[in-house]
Amino acid sequence: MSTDDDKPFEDDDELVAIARTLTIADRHLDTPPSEVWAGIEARLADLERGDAGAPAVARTAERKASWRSARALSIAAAVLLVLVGGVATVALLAGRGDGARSVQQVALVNTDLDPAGAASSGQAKLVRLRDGRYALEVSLRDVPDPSNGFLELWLLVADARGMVSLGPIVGFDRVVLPANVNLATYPVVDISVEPADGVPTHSGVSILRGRLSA
Amino acid sequence: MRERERAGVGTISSVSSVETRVVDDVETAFVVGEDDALRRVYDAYGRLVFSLCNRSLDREAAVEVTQDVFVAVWQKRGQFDPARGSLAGWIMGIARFKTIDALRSRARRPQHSPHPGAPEAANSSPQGVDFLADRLLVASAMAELPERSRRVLEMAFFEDLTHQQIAERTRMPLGTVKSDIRRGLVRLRHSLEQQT
Repeated sequence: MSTDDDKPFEDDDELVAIARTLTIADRHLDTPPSEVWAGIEARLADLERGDAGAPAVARTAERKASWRSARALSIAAAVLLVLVGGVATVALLAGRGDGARSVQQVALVNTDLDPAGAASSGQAKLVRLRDGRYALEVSLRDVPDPSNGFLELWLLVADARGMVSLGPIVGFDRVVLPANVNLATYPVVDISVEPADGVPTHSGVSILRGRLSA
Repeated sequence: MRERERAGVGTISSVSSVETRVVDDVETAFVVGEDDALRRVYDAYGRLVFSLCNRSLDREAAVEVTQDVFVAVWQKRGQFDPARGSLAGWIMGIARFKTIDALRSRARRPQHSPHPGAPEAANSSPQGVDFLADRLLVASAMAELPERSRRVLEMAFFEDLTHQQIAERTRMPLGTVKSDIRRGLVRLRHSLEQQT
């Protein structure tokens, strides 16, 4: 124990040594440019998408078959694992701590669609990310086992004659929306069952749909 | 199946020392996993991390490594244990590692580019990075101390005074001086803990 005349610490105390060498610069921090945070958010969104290297460009229905078939196989495997027992877990997409703000949420229902999805349900949440981009967070429940295929997420024109593919999904996902896809033009969220046949167009087997209001 | 990782701590515990640590609300939000936790953590510690990177690496690398650090902070959030150290110390532990790694594989900060007051060349080595990280953490912790604690600690550090001399100079009771210094030291030590 120190007496009144003792110094508060030993001279060889490491913390003291550090404190005594503090420079003026150490007391003034550098502010990172705004691109730093934007990059962090973008990378976390890509990681959630499960797609760390994929370009964030618009994918149309006419993309190359080679991309589809290679990826479709791995997605199909993941989907089959997920769907053992016929029940897909609904993952919580809220609260990932990245500042995404929910803009709109819509239920995905099977009404008047292919009976394969009769027991399914889901929801789609439109969120606005910190950097101003929008993303769709989709979670599905009780979707059918697409055996030898996979589930795909689409945005449709109101009369379903035009569409944009947002790619295969595995029961839950967050997809950053391409900047040039206008939700007023494509307000309908659609989930289809696709065969892994290398054909990029919509199979016509929709199992869930919901409509966002633009 | 990707599940949202939850932080492994059930409750926020105090440090096992005489003093209970004030767990600030940024740390609480992070541990609990609130919606905007990472943004708040970045707002609180982004400058600390970026300063370490910016004073050890070139600008482009500093931006990228800072991003790497916060992505890792998010992904490893279940590993942070508030009982074992401060969030700042943990984050800077990740930052040291990634900065030193980047030094090995990327461009070093040019030795002669001007930066007021900092020994530039010394920062561009693993020991330099560690030393800089320690100084930044201590400086930051000092700035957050209550005014009174900071004052007496500075007197103790830089003027080499005894408890009694400090008490006389500040006209504070001796007991108050001792406990202010003791509390301040605990907080400073805690800020350096990395939990590695």
